[in-house]
Amino acid sequence: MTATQERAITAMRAIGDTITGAPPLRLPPRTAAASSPRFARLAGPRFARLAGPVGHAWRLWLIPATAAVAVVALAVSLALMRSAPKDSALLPGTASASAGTSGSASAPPYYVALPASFGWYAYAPATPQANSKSSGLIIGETATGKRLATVAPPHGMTFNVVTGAADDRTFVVGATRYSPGEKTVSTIWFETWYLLRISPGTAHVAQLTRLPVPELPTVTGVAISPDGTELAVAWQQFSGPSWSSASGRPRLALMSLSTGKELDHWSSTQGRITATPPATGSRPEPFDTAGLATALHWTPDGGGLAFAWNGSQIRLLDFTAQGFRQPDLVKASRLRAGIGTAYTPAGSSFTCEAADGWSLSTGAKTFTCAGSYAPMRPATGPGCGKTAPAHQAIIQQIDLGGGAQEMTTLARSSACTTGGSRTLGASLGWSAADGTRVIAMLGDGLLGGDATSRYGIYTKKTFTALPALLSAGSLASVAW
Amino acid sequence: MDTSERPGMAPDATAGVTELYQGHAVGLIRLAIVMLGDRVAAEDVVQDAFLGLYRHWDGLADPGKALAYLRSAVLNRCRNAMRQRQRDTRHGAAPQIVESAEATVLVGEENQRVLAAIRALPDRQREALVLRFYLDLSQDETARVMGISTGTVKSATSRAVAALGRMLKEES
Repeated sequence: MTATQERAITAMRAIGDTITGAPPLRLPPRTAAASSPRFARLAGPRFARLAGPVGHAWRLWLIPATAAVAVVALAVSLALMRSAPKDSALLPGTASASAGTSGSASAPPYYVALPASFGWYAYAPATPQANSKSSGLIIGETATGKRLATVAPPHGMTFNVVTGAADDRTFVVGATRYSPGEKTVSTIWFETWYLLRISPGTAHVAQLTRLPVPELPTVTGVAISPDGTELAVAWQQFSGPSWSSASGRPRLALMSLSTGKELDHWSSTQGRITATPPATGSRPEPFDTAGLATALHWTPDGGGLAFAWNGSQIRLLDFTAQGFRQPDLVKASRLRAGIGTAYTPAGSSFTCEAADGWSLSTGAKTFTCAGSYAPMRPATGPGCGKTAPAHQAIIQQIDLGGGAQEMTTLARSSACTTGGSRTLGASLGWSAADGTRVIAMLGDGLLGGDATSRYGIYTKKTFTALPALLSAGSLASVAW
Repeated sequence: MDTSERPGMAPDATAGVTELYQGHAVGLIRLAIVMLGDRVAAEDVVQDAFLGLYRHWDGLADPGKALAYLRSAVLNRCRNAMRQRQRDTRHGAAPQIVESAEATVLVGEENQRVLAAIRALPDRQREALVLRFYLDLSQDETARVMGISTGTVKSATSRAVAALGRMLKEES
């Protein structure tokens, strides 16, 4: 054996030995995909190629490989997971923290966070930091807060938004391209899409791959389907070549992650962009959400897609419903819950903003929302004095199953604070499929470093504190 | 019992593929990571190969040849993935891989250099080299997996070793 052969064998064994196990094999039902009503509804010739019978499997070879191999395998491996969403994973180290509450502390073990100071804006992050070290995505452990890896953005890009599938290993990340030194907005911002696969505990912790999904302008909401095969995107379609306050039209589409093709789409003539155009040399403010579809969320079973509409409604596209396909976004969807500010007969108010986080449980039976509560009169009692907050942070749940839409409180911040009178907010990051557990933050919006903030897993009866993820920012910039 | 050693028997697709996966998945992922250097892609490629076998299980004349089929499928998919990666690199869209510190140390700089050289070989040479020297397959087995003649395996392996020697010499 030559020295070259020996070197080759040594090198191949070295990398081969880093593999000590294989992920579970997940095989699809042999005919289930084709018989699903949703697949039938979406089934155009393009989609049929992917969901087609055995005899057409060879066509998979035609799909562009790196992203496609990853996504196709993902589609297969997650096909059986629609009914076993994130909450089936136990959070290491905290499973016994709430003994007696039937595993109430279970939550997805890993998170992916946008860099501190970044949040979801319709146009772009407020502070472009292209390629700086601090602008990388952070992958970490939920239970310990430990950072496992940081993924830097591709050259010239800045990460904007991240959304996670049900397996807690698959994420889609949106990024925007900035020109060097660009400080002002002169044209419409386009979002570019990346698939992020994480494999904690292995040699390759994370892999970021460009997706074939088209770049889209002025994106207002995005959500990956629970099974990781589709991306729902809401954006503004402009009739003119550049930013305009009048020419925008809200659109919502489902895209195949493997091919990037549009599987279905809706639009509406009702919504228009309402922000003031930016003055020369200035950055536009995130626009008013009036008439826009924002903050998309799939139902945990993948049977529906909900969106916040007009800053006042949560509407649901029900993919399990049969019948005529309605192209108008508003007509195609059903109103499921109201958001904004609601007043009680006594004059107290509850405010629920879509941007603070919300979710629907399986079958859209329960709506959970983060917001604030303003009592008619400041709380009184021992320890309160004059330091009752102007608004208490609150996580509220509404039962959508019955006619009365009964409202219950899942979590609420203290009625009094030591820091004087002030407004507290809440942020909802993740919700169990049945809505009984949430990862949320109640406090001043700081994920750590603030004694008045309580970040962790809430149920109606328990609270399990979690270590801080970010020095600043909201849970809207974290995905599980 | 290993399904690949039971020629003539055709167990249920799920049971048969699962049994093969339990017996050979790790080895095939190792083969794929040698070719690709990327664990996530290697796992995807192997998962996809098993899915292909599952879909074609009814048409599999001899389950005893399933392992050879899987090796071929993994090699084909690795080849496609590498080509796609080259295209992505040209277009600035190559996957970005974040390796753990342990992995970097385990494989070592020198070995990474050799692996990079192996991956720079032409497809046929690279595959012959890996099958012969990493999987330790005979020339006949290698020929069967690659779908080429034994003579071609011999020449491809020989050329691969020579080219690899040249590349490593040039680098040092």
